[in-house]
Amino acid sequence: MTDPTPDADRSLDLTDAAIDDELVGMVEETVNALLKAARARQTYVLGNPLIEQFTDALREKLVTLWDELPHLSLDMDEGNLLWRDRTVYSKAVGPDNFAFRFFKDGIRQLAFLPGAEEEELAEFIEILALSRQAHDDDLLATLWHRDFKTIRMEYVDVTDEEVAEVPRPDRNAGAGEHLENMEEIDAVLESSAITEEDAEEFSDITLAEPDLLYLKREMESEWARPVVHDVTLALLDQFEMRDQQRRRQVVDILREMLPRLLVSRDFGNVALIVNELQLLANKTGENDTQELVTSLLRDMSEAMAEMVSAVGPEGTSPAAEELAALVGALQAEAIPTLVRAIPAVPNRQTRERLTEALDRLVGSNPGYVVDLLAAEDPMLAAEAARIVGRLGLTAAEPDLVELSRRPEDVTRQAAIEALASLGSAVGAEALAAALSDSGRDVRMAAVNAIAAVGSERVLPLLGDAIAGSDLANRDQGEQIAFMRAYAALAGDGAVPLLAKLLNGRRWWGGRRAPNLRACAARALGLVGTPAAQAALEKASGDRAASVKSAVRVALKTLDADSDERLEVATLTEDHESELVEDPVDLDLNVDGMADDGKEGSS
Amino acid sequence: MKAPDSLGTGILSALYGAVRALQLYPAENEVVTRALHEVREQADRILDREGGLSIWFAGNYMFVNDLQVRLDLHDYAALAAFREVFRSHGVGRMEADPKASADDWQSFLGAIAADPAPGQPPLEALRAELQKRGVSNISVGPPSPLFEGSEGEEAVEAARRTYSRSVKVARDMMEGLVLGKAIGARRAERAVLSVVDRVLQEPATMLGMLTLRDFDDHSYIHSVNVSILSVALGDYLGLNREQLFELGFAALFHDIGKVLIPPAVLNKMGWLNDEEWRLVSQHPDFGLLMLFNVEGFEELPYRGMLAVYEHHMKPDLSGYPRVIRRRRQGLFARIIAITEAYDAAISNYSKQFLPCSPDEAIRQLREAETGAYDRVLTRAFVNMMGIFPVATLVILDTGEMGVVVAPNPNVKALSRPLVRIIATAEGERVGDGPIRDLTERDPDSGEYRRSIARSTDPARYGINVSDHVA
Repeated sequence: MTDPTPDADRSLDLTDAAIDDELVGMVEETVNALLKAARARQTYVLGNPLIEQFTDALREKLVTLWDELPHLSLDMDEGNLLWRDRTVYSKAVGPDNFAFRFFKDGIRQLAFLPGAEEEELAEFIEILALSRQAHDDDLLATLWHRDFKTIRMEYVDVTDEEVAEVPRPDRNAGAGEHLENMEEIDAVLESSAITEEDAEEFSDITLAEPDLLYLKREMESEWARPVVHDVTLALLDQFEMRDQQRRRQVVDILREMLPRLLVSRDFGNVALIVNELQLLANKTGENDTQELVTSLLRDMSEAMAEMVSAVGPEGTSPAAEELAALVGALQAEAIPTLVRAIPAVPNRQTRERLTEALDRLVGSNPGYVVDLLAAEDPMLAAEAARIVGRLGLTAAEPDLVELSRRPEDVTRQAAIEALASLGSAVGAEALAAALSDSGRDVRMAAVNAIAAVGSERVLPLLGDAIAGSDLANRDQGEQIAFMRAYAALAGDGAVPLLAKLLNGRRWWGGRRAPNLRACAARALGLVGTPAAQAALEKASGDRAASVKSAVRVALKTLDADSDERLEVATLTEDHESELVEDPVDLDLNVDGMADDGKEGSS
Repeated sequence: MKAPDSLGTGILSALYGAVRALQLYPAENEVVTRALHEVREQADRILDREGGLSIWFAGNYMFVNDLQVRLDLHDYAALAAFREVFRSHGVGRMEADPKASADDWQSFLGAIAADPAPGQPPLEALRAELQKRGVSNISVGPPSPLFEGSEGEEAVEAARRTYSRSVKVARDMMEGLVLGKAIGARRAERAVLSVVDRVLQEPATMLGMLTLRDFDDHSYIHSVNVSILSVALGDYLGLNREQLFELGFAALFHDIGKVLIPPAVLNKMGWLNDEEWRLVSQHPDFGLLMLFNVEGFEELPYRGMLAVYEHHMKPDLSGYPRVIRRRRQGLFARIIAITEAYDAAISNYSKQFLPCSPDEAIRQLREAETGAYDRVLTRAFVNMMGIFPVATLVILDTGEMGVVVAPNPNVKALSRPLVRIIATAEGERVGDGPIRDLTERDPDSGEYRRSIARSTDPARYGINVSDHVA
């Protein structure tokens, strides 16, 4: 039993004679429609129009039925659904039998009231359909908790276990016997008995209007109560007990609880827990307690880092204070997650706080990030390399060199950049080698690093690269980068080669491609010596518009002082990209054709 | 088409408003006029829509045209009071047809608003009054049985099954915990939802089960009793079914932490020494920590856990466990504190105190020191139980002896419960004695026919009260 079904005598004025076959047929059709709708839901995913179609059909049947019946009450046995003792559904007992699904959980009667078709029917069908799959779920309990208004049920306890025999009342106990100790009764009767004024005695317990208001407020406040927070406070109170075993218990509970809080993005309580535990552990000054807390934080660090850096629904990001507490509690175990996640954190403040935390953690636990250099995931390894470079972890040099040999461009580039940051001899060799790397970005990283670090040892390599045919086939950004690096390192010594590129002719009399010449002109402008100026002036009449333009700009550069030229020489790659993309400034024709379309026409 | 919730609560609120207005003002007062107008409007909405209006009560459920009306906090106090007005007249069902006029409504509500006439069964008196006032389109009837065959002994039998099943579940779960065995949360869920249903349908019958004390270990019986009492009080306060389930579940396991306390300490006769008390007073702590580790309890609501933890904390936080991070004792815990204290007082569950009679337990609760229990909740509990709760053995001023079997349906009659007579004024025991409503008055003198002179100890007379109530 649960909710009472409508009073049969009053609402169901049907005699046996009135239950004609037609009515039974209508009920049967309605039951069939119900089961079809449930089967449709079992078969198709939610939202499939067929489900709605079958549910609508059932609605129609019910509405028609309400013209004939005040409600529809179905009884069930193991394999059948019955209406007024007439079988309206029957099937072999088993999980596919709808009657059995109800019966096995103890449900013995379902009553559909008018109105069921309006709102609750679809949800009932959903529960019924899913009961086919959810073997562990209790259909009775599910329906009970759902507490439908227009679909009611009666149930029985189906567990057949033995229970202790409850003594049955014996209403006739002592009948005919005479009470002893009548003197008490006599004494009571002799004294004054309670009379009808008694109600006034209880005015102190009558619930007055303010009491009702109080109760209403209390209930509202109970449902608004932050129960998770209060459980957290209770656990922290327990942790404060001077009992190491109790603390261990609490920490074990928190080990299970914290991931759930994190998944639900309850950063407030997570922050409270980690903050308080650290404070309490420090307060005790006991190694055992501190280790206990640290072990918990270690276990939780990965999850905390994951959830803090993940993009959640709006309004679920940690507040500044929570974020501070959370990142402050992170342990080295969070490093891999942070390394992976930080680049994708959209919120700048969060990203900065996490980066600070990461740097702090790596500072005292460099091994974690060095290990990541060997990570299979190239993005992770590359990010680790960047961190190594940023934090100057020289111990990671051999691993970076290894990384610079991996097949993925992104890892080699990151390794080269990191090595450049470290500025070591081993790194310089790797940089030099990277000038001929197959990856454009790797070469760019190497050449930019060389330009910045100023390794003269690589000058011959750079010269070869510039003079060789490979550079001519690369994009102008790379050409510029190589020539600038060369100019910056070689100074006046770069002029012969650059002048040759700008003004020289090849063995068949043709000139270099205009874009290459334009780059040489820009590089000569950076050198800024008289020899460079002479070379530029010689090219001022170049017929290729892009070369002519580059020469003009370079000559203007000569008017700037040397510091400014150096600044220009260390242009970032971004700026170079801008240049490359500027169609006016650069000639993107890299196949040796002059601007006018004639090969070496002069 | 059925009346949606808003129409159901609308008509009930309007009816109660009109009853209150008629109780406070003369019929010609404008407040009364407005209230009656509201009743007509609300009734017409339903009558236009459905062609009839019936309001009926079953257990603590209310229905408008067969659709259960869900009460939220906003409505509960008023509508529960309205239900009690009906009950006090013995009315379980009211029906109005579309021909009901303004005069019909005014006369009907005027009759309902008055106190039940003495000297005859209240429903008969009301019907006579309605006839006298010429009300022909509104009729009243007695309460309906909830289910066919669920009346009387069958209802008692069903309650007994629910009770014994719950005790078994409590026993199995707690013993299982001690032995480190997996326990069935689903069984516990079934037990509690059954308790909730039974309390909602047959509150007095379920409260009568509290007298069954000698068939199992007291600690498990205590758990079930506290669950029943808490659900009953929760219902009295207006909690919905799901909230009652949560409360019942928490109450069933409120003392779960005691499984970790050696029986020698728990069952020690007389006062506990400091160390023993320190141990016993940690049972809420143990309970909280244990519940986190019970297999199958992953879904146990935190509110329930808090109730287990806080039920000895006291509203002023002077109890235990010690509160370091200040917060309020939760509502569930405050409810359980009261119901547990009551059950502990009337049973020999606690070895440190002698059991007392139910009315004495109520008196102790009323007189408890400030801060020990929530004062208003205690009042609500006393209101629910009556001054003489179910199972109190009473001596009547007629010299008869009886056992309280239910609080009076008239909530104002706190000291006038329904009593089963078990011995005549001459001291002769009667078999299956009649149940007397102590609000019955002598039609000639207008005096109450019977009043309670005092309660007494069943053991003194060799009486087993459960024979007469459970």
